[in-house]
Amino acid sequence: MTIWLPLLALNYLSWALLCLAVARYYRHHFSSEPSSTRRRVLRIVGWLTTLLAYVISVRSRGWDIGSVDWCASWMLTAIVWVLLQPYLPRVSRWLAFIGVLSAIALTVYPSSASF
Amino acid sequence: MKNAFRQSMAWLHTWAGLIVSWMLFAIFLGGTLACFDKELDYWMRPALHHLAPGPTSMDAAAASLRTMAPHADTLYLRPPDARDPSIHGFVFEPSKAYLDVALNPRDGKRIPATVGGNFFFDLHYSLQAGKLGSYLVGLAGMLMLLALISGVIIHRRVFKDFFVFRPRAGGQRAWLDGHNFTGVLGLPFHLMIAYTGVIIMMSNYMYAGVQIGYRGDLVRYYDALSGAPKIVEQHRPPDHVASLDAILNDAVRRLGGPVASLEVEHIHDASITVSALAAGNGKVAGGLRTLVYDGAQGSFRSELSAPPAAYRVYQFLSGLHRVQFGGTAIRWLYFLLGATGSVMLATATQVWIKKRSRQAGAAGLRSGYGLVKILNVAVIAGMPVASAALLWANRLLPYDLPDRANLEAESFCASWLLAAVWGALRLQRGKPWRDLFAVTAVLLLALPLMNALTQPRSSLLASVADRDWVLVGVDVTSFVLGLGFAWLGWLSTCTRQRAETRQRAAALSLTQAQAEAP
Repeated sequence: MTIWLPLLALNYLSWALLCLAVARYYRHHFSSEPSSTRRRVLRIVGWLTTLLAYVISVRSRGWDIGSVDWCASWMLTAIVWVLLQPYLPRVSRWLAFIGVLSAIALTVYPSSASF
Repeated sequence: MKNAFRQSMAWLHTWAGLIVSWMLFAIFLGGTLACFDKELDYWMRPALHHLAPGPTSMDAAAASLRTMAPHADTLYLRPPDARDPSIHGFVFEPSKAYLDVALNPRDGKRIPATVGGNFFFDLHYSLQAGKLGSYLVGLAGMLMLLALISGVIIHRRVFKDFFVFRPRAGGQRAWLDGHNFTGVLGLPFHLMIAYTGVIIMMSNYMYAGVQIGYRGDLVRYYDALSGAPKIVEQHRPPDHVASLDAILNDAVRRLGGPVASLEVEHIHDASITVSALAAGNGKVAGGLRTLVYDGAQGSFRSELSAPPAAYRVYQFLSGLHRVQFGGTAIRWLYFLLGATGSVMLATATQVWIKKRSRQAGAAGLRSGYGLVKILNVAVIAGMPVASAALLWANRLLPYDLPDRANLEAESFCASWLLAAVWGALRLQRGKPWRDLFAVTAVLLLALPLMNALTQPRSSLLASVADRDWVLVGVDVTSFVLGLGFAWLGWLSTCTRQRAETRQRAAALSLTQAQAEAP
């Protein structure tokens, strides 16, 4: 069960990064113009994050179910990000950090959650 | 040329989508709820909530099935699993209705009837209308595929507008954004679910092959497809019938995992045969392993060879659709994605009407536009009322009524009809959306309370104390969904007010402009 938090957190983070790589949303979030290097880095790290999520998912649950899990969480996290970020840009960014941090905590100390 | 193509695709998207959108909404919502069919089944059968501890008896269940259907040739028995503690029995008896009963796993006695969570499953694939219904669902699924593909073509900037959602834009823009982002972000799911949904019933939709090769006998066709052995009848009664519990135990040991179902064939003949189908835990395609036993002696006969590749592909695709493979978490994700699909459909019909709001306003309610408006409120706001009412009916109808399951189904239909009529009447003046959302909210928010009053031993508090998380889950989910509907009701009140204020302001400025005009 502990696979779900890292999977959701990484996919959510990847959507946040990919979205911020678009100048229009970067402005909405930070009220400044992103440099082209920054946009490229955001985009590359965004894609790598979702690739990492896919690798983790497939390694823990096998090719077939791992792919389905990854795909479902990929779509849902996109929907959560798109719903949150126009209303609560700050919260939507913090959620990405909190998600990844708690996923790391859960991976390092798996006994802290027994669901 | 390119523009003409896009225009024709826009036409296709609009009309292929509109004519089936209400049916698709019902199918989507039914399917979304059916993600938790067994959990709802369990909630709807309080007789199962406090079973005395003890061994499971498949033999008692089989004996009780045989008295219920004395002429049946084949029995299907589903042993208890983590999601459902009852034994499920399925029987086809010649020239009789299909029998599907839940049995007490201790003594095999029938548990008071309910339509159960299965109601939403039936609604999902056949609209509760038998063969005709399943054809309609298939047609809707195919049109949905058309609408999805043409939708991608006419969406000019799929990638550029990937993250666009402008809730404050108001009017048609916000509805279209809502439709676009639920459609685009959920697209892999929608495509998969529409395609595999049609594929599951493929042999019913493309009947020619079965008709020619198997003279229309679907059972024989599926037997041949899955490689089931042909059993030769001996035309004499069996002198001994082996214990199903012993066979089940042996099958679990040989398979190294749980058994999904036992199929007992030719129960009145010496050729009686029992097949044990492996549960597919850990594989999308399901078990795919079948052990065959001699039903008279109880001895292990053989394991079926792996089914051919075509059948495995079929099993994989239907497994993807039916999501019986990965535990509760993936079912929740399907539930949420299904809800997203329902939102996509609901916003689609709103976009259609908002785009034509001027004509619709001029034509009034007695017109095609009016019909669309009425169907929108009747289906989209009406079906949640009926679904919540079904759960109420389950608890409020006495448990010893003979025709209980039918009465539950009728209360679902009656409450939907009532909601539809109310919605249609209130469209002229009033807030039908707010009314129906409010009713749904009240029904769902009060469900835990009603449950506690009618079944004190299965109340939310008692279930928490018993650590019965399925019962806790149904009550809590109902409450949370109730909060959601209360919010929707509040939103639809506000939107209407805002629209009216805008209209009044526009009218005022118009009269002012006219007054100022020389």
